[in-house]
Amino acid sequence: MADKFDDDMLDDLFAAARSDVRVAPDPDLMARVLADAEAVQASWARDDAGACAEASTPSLWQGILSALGGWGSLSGVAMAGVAGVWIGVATGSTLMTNTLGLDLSGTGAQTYLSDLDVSYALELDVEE
Amino acid sequence: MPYDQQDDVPDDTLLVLYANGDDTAARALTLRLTPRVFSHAFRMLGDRAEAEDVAQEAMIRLFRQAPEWRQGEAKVTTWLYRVTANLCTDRLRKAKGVALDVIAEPEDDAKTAAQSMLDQARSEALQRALATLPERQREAVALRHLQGLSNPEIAEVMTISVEAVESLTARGKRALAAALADQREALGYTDG
Repeated sequence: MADKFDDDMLDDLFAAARSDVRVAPDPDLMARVLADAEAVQASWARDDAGACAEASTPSLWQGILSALGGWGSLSGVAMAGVAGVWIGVATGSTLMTNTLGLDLSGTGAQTYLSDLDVSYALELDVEE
Repeated sequence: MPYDQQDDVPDDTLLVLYANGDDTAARALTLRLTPRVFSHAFRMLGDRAEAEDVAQEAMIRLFRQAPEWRQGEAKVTTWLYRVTANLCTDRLRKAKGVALDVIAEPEDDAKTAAQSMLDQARSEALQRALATLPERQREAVALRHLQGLSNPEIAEVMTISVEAVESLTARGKRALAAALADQREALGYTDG
Protein backbone atom coordinates (compact mmCIF):
# COMPACT_ATOMS: atom_id res chain seq x y z
CA MET A 1 0.00 0.00 0.00
CA ALA A 2 2.87 2.32 0.92
CA ASP A 3 4.45 1.52 -2.46
CA LYS A 4 1.27 2.51 -4.28
CA PHE A 5 1.10 5.72 -2.29
CA ASP A 6 4.74 6.49 -3.03
CA ASP A 7 4.26 5.70 -6.72
CA ASP A 8 1.27 8.02 -6.95
CA MET A 9 3.11 10.76 -5.10
CA LEU A 10 6.16 10.42 -7.32
CA ASP A 11 4.05 10.44 -10.48
CA ASP A 12 2.49 13.65 -9.24
CA LEU A 13 5.87 15.17 -8.43
CA PHE A 14 7.26 14.19 -11.82
CA ALA A 15 4.27 15.81 -13.51
CA ALA A 16 4.78 18.99 -11.48
CA ALA A 17 8.47 19.03 -12.42
CA ARG A 18 7.76 18.43 -16.13
CA SER A 19 5.32 21.33 -16.27
CA ASP A 20 7.55 23.66 -14.28
CA VAL A 21 8.02 26.56 -16.66
CA ARG A 22 10.92 27.83 -14.58
CA VAL A 23 13.03 24.91 -15.79
CA ALA A 24 13.00 26.31 -19.31
CA PRO A 25 16.05 27.88 -20.94
CA ASP A 26 16.40 31.64 -20.84
CA PRO A 27 15.94 33.51 -24.12
CA ASP A 28 19.59 34.53 -23.75
CA LEU A 29 20.68 30.89 -23.88
CA MET A 30 18.51 30.26 -26.93
CA ALA A 31 20.05 33.28 -28.64
CA ARG A 32 23.58 32.11 -27.81
CA VAL A 33 22.90 28.60 -29.14
CA LEU A 34 21.37 29.99 -32.33
CA ALA A 35 24.39 32.29 -32.77
CA ASP A 36 26.66 29.24 -32.35
CA ALA A 37 24.64 27.34 -34.97
CA GLU A 38 25.00 30.18 -37.44
CA ALA A 39 28.71 30.65 -36.65
CA VAL A 40 29.43 26.96 -37.31
CA GLN A 41 27.58 27.18 -40.63
CA ALA A 42 29.47 30.36 -41.54
CA SER A 43 32.80 28.67 -40.79
CA TRP A 44 31.96 25.91 -43.28
CA ALA A 45 31.06 28.52 -45.90
CA ARG A 46 34.42 30.27 -45.32
CA ASP A 47 36.28 26.96 -45.59
CA ASP A 48 34.51 26.17 -48.86
CA ALA A 49 35.25 29.62 -50.27
CA GLY A 50 38.93 29.31 -49.27
CA ALA A 51 39.23 25.90 -50.89
CA CYS A 52 37.67 27.20 -54.11
CA ALA A 53 39.98 30.24 -54.20
CA GLU A 54 43.03 28.04 -53.63
CA ALA A 55 41.96 25.68 -56.39
CA SER A 56 41.40 28.53 -58.86
CA THR A 57 44.84 30.25 -58.41
CA PRO A 58 47.12 28.73 -61.11
CA SER A 59 50.86 28.33 -60.56
CA LEU A 60 53.46 29.47 -63.17
CA TRP A 61 53.86 25.89 -64.37
CA GLN A 62 50.09 25.50 -64.66
CA GLY A 63 50.03 28.71 -66.74
CA ILE A 64 52.69 27.44 -69.12
CA LEU A 65 50.98 24.10 -69.41
CA SER A 66 47.71 25.80 -70.13
CA ALA A 67 49.31 27.98 -72.84
CA LEU A 68 50.60 24.85 -74.55
CA GLY A 69 47.14 23.37 -74.62
CA GLY A 70 47.21 21.32 -71.43
CA TRP A 71 48.51 17.88 -70.64
CA GLY A 72 46.84 16.35 -73.71
CA SER A 73 48.74 18.52 -76.16
CA LEU A 74 51.99 18.17 -74.29
CA SER A 75 51.81 14.40 -74.25
CA GLY A 76 50.99 14.44 -77.99
CA VAL A 77 54.11 16.46 -78.73
CA ALA A 78 56.22 14.18 -76.58
CA MET A 79 54.81 11.08 -78.26
CA ALA A 80 55.49 12.46 -81.73
CA GLY A 81 59.09 13.20 -80.76
CA VAL A 82 59.67 9.74 -79.37
CA ALA A 83 58.06 8.14 -82.44
CA GLY A 84 60.31 10.17 -84.77
CA VAL A 85 63.46 9.10 -82.96
CA TRP A 86 62.29 5.50 -82.94
CA ILE A 87 61.54 5.48 -86.65
CA GLY A 88 64.91 7.02 -87.39
CA VAL A 89 66.87 4.56 -85.30
CA ALA A 90 64.89 1.41 -86.14
CA THR A 91 64.96 1.88 -89.86
CA GLY A 92 68.66 2.75 -89.87
CA SER A 93 70.12 3.05 -93.35
CA THR A 94 67.11 1.59 -95.19
CA LEU A 95 65.48 5.01 -95.56
CA MET A 96 68.74 6.60 -96.54
CA THR A 97 70.27 4.57 -99.27
CA ASN A 98 72.69 7.10 -100.71
CA THR A 99 76.02 7.97 -99.27
CA LEU A 100 74.67 11.18 -97.82
CA GLY A 101 72.22 9.20 -95.67
CA LEU A 102 74.92 6.90 -94.49
CA ASP A 103 77.12 9.84 -93.68
CA LEU A 104 74.33 11.50 -91.66
CA SER A 105 73.53 8.40 -89.64
CA GLY A 106 77.12 7.45 -89.16
CA THR A 107 79.83 9.08 -87.13
CA GLY A 108 82.85 8.44 -89.24
CA ALA A 109 82.56 11.17 -91.81
CA GLN A 110 82.09 14.92 -91.83
CA THR A 111 79.09 16.23 -93.68
CA TYR A 112 78.56 19.71 -94.91
CA LEU A 113 75.43 21.69 -95.76
CA SER A 114 76.61 21.85 -99.29
CA ASP A 115 76.16 18.07 -99.45
CA LEU A 116 72.47 18.53 -98.66
CA ASP A 117 71.78 21.37 -101.01
CA VAL A 118 74.09 22.71 -103.63
CA SER A 119 72.79 26.20 -103.11
CA TYR A 120 74.77 26.29 -99.90
CA ALA A 121 77.97 25.69 -101.88
CA LEU A 122 80.29 28.59 -102.17
CA GLU A 123 80.79 29.35 -105.80
CA LEU A 124 83.70 31.35 -106.89
CA ASP A 125 83.61 32.79 -110.30
CA VAL A 126 87.18 33.16 -111.24
CA GLU A 127 87.82 34.64 -114.51
CA GLU A 128 90.78 33.29 -116.17
CA MET B 1 6.38 27.25 -43.24
CA PRO B 2 9.36 27.40 -40.87
CA TYR B 3 10.77 24.05 -39.81
CA ASP B 4 10.25 24.79 -36.10
CA GLN B 5 6.51 24.70 -36.82
CA GLN B 6 6.81 21.36 -38.64
CA ASP B 7 6.97 18.79 -35.90
CA ASP B 8 6.86 15.98 -38.45
CA VAL B 9 10.31 16.83 -39.87
CA PRO B 10 12.64 14.33 -38.15
CA ASP B 11 15.64 15.60 -36.20
CA ASP B 12 18.16 13.89 -38.45
CA THR B 13 16.58 15.41 -41.57
CA LEU B 14 16.88 18.83 -39.98
CA LEU B 15 20.51 18.09 -39.18
CA VAL B 16 21.26 17.22 -42.82
CA LEU B 17 19.51 20.39 -43.97
CA TYR B 18 21.53 22.33 -41.43
CA ALA B 19 24.78 20.79 -42.71
CA ASN B 20 23.77 21.90 -46.21
CA GLY B 21 23.62 25.50 -45.03
CA ASP B 22 19.89 25.85 -44.35
CA ASP B 23 19.57 28.56 -41.69
CA THR B 24 15.92 27.73 -41.05
CA ALA B 25 17.03 24.27 -39.95
CA ALA B 26 19.54 25.88 -37.58
CA ARG B 27 16.71 27.76 -35.91
CA ALA B 28 14.45 24.70 -35.79
CA LEU B 29 17.12 22.51 -34.19
CA THR B 30 17.89 25.20 -31.62
CA LEU B 31 14.26 25.70 -30.65
CA ARG B 32 13.47 22.00 -30.57
CA LEU B 33 16.48 20.54 -28.81
CA THR B 34 17.94 23.22 -26.52
CA PRO B 35 15.06 23.10 -23.99
CA ARG B 36 15.42 19.31 -23.67
CA VAL B 37 19.16 19.46 -23.23
CA PHE B 38 18.96 22.31 -20.77
CA SER B 39 16.26 20.75 -18.59
CA HIS B 40 18.10 17.42 -18.45
CA ALA B 41 21.35 19.16 -17.55
CA PHE B 42 19.54 21.16 -14.88
CA ARG B 43 18.02 18.01 -13.36
CA MET B 44 21.46 16.41 -13.33
CA LEU B 45 23.41 19.38 -12.01
CA GLY B 46 20.88 21.39 -10.00
CA ASP B 47 22.56 24.59 -11.11
CA ARG B 48 21.14 26.88 -13.76
CA ALA B 49 24.37 28.51 -14.89
CA GLU B 50 26.16 25.17 -15.12
CA ALA B 51 23.23 23.65 -16.98
CA GLU B 52 23.29 26.53 -19.47
CA ASP B 53 26.98 25.99 -20.13
CA VAL B 54 26.43 22.27 -20.65
CA ALA B 55 23.45 22.85 -22.96
CA GLN B 56 25.39 25.33 -25.07
CA GLU B 57 28.40 23.00 -25.31
CA ALA B 58 26.27 19.95 -26.17
CA MET B 59 24.44 21.86 -28.89
CA ILE B 60 27.62 23.22 -30.46
CA ARG B 61 29.01 19.68 -30.57
CA LEU B 62 25.87 18.57 -32.36
CA PHE B 63 26.19 21.38 -34.91
CA ARG B 64 29.84 20.50 -35.58
CA GLN B 65 28.89 16.85 -35.96
CA ALA B 66 26.21 17.62 -38.55
CA PRO B 67 28.30 17.09 -41.75
CA GLU B 68 29.40 13.66 -40.49
CA TRP B 69 25.90 12.61 -39.42
CA ARG B 70 24.68 9.40 -41.02
CA GLN B 71 20.94 9.45 -41.35
CA GLY B 72 19.13 6.52 -39.81
CA GLU B 73 22.09 5.18 -37.85
CA ALA B 74 21.51 6.90 -34.51
CA LYS B 75 18.80 9.02 -33.02
CA VAL B 76 19.81 12.64 -32.64
CA THR B 77 18.26 12.91 -29.17
CA THR B 78 20.02 9.72 -28.02
CA TRP B 79 23.36 11.14 -29.13
CA LEU B 80 22.56 14.48 -27.53
CA TYR B 81 21.46 13.08 -24.16
CA ARG B 82 24.64 10.97 -24.07
CA VAL B 83 26.85 14.01 -24.74
CA THR B 84 24.89 15.99 -22.14
CA ALA B 85 25.30 13.24 -19.55
CA ASN B 86 29.04 13.05 -20.20
CA LEU B 87 29.42 16.81 -19.85
CA CYS B 88 27.39 16.73 -16.61
CA THR B 89 29.51 13.88 -15.26
CA ASP B 90 32.68 15.86 -15.93
CA ARG B 91 31.31 18.83 -14.04
CA LEU B 92 29.99 16.74 -11.16
CA ARG B 93 33.37 15.10 -10.72
CA LYS B 94 35.05 18.48 -10.61
CA ALA B 95 32.45 19.95 -8.26
CA LYS B 96 32.13 16.77 -6.13
CA GLY B 97 28.42 17.11 -5.67
CA VAL B 98 25.14 18.48 -6.91
CA ALA B 99 24.23 22.10 -6.36
CA LEU B 100 20.77 23.08 -5.25
CA ASP B 101 20.00 26.14 -7.25
CA VAL B 102 16.90 28.12 -6.43
CA ILE B 103 14.52 27.93 -9.34
CA ALA B 104 13.68 31.35 -10.78
CA GLU B 105 10.52 33.30 -10.05
CA PRO B 106 7.11 31.83 -10.99
CA GLU B 107 5.17 33.07 -14.01
CA ASP B 108 2.20 30.81 -14.64
CA ASP B 109 -0.97 32.91 -14.76
CA ALA B 110 -3.34 30.07 -15.65
CA LYS B 111 -3.22 28.37 -12.26
CA THR B 112 -4.41 29.73 -8.98
CA ALA B 113 -1.72 31.24 -6.83
CA ALA B 114 -2.06 28.47 -4.24
CA GLN B 115 -1.84 25.68 -6.81
CA SER B 116 1.15 27.32 -8.48
CA MET B 117 2.95 27.62 -5.18
CA LEU B 118 2.24 24.00 -4.36
CA ASP B 119 3.45 22.81 -7.78
CA GLN B 120 6.60 24.86 -7.43
CA ALA B 121 7.22 23.45 -3.96
CA ARG B 122 6.77 19.92 -5.35
CA SER B 123 9.11 20.56 -8.26
CA GLU B 124 11.77 21.98 -5.97
CA ALA B 125 11.37 19.11 -3.49
CA LEU B 126 11.82 16.63 -6.30
CA GLN B 127 14.93 18.47 -7.49
CA ARG B 128 16.39 18.33 -3.98
CA ALA B 129 15.59 14.64 -3.69
CA LEU B 130 17.08 13.92 -7.13
CA ALA B 131 20.31 15.54 -5.99
CA THR B 132 20.67 12.92 -3.27
CA LEU B 133 20.62 10.00 -5.73
CA PRO B 134 23.75 8.37 -7.12
CA GLU B 135 24.57 9.87 -10.52
CA ARG B 136 23.49 6.88 -12.67
CA GLN B 137 20.19 6.51 -10.83
CA ARG B 138 19.53 10.23 -11.19
CA GLU B 139 20.26 10.07 -14.92
CA ALA B 140 18.00 7.06 -15.48
CA VAL B 141 15.12 8.50 -13.44
CA ALA B 142 15.38 11.92 -15.10
CA LEU B 143 15.48 10.43 -18.60
CA ARG B 144 12.53 8.13 -17.88
CA HIS B 145 10.21 10.33 -15.85
CA LEU B 146 11.18 13.89 -16.78
CA GLN B 147 12.37 13.59 -20.38
CA GLY B 148 9.89 10.83 -21.23
CA LEU B 149 12.31 8.40 -22.90
CA SER B 150 11.47 4.71 -23.15
CA ASN B 151 13.62 2.14 -21.36
CA PRO B 152 15.27 0.92 -24.62
CA GLU B 153 16.11 4.53 -25.50
CA ILE B 154 17.63 5.09 -22.06
CA ALA B 155 19.59 1.87 -22.43
CA GLU B 156 21.07 3.24 -25.65
CA VAL B 157 21.89 6.63 -24.09
CA MET B 158 23.54 5.04 -21.06
CA THR B 159 25.01 2.12 -23.03
CA ILE B 160 23.57 -0.46 -20.63
CA SER B 161 20.91 -3.19 -20.93
CA VAL B 162 17.19 -2.52 -20.63
CA GLU B 163 17.17 -4.67 -17.47
CA ALA B 164 19.87 -2.47 -15.96
CA VAL B 165 17.76 0.61 -16.78
CA GLU B 166 14.73 -0.96 -15.05
CA SER B 167 16.84 -1.73 -12.02
CA LEU B 168 18.29 1.79 -11.87
CA THR B 169 14.92 3.51 -12.20
CA ALA B 170 13.29 1.22 -9.62
CA ARG B 171 16.04 1.81 -7.07
CA GLY B 172 16.02 5.50 -7.91
CA LYS B 173 12.30 5.81 -7.28
CA ARG B 174 12.57 3.99 -3.97
CA ALA B 175 15.38 6.31 -2.91
CA LEU B 176 13.34 9.34 -3.98
CA ALA B 177 10.34 8.16 -1.96
CA ALA B 178 12.57 7.68 1.07
CA ALA B 179 14.13 11.12 0.66
CA LEU B 180 10.67 12.71 0.42
CA ALA B 181 9.04 10.66 3.20
CA ASP B 182 9.16 13.40 5.81
CA GLN B 183 7.83 16.04 3.40
CA ARG B 184 4.66 14.25 2.30
CA GLU B 185 2.27 16.36 4.31
CA ALA B 186 4.06 19.60 3.53
CA LEU B 187 3.72 18.76 -0.16
CA GLY B 188 0.00 18.04 0.21
CA TYR B 189 0.01 14.23 0.32
CA THR B 190 -1.76 12.31 3.05
CA ASP B 191 -1.81 8.50 3.24
CA GLY B 192 -5.23 7.00 3.62
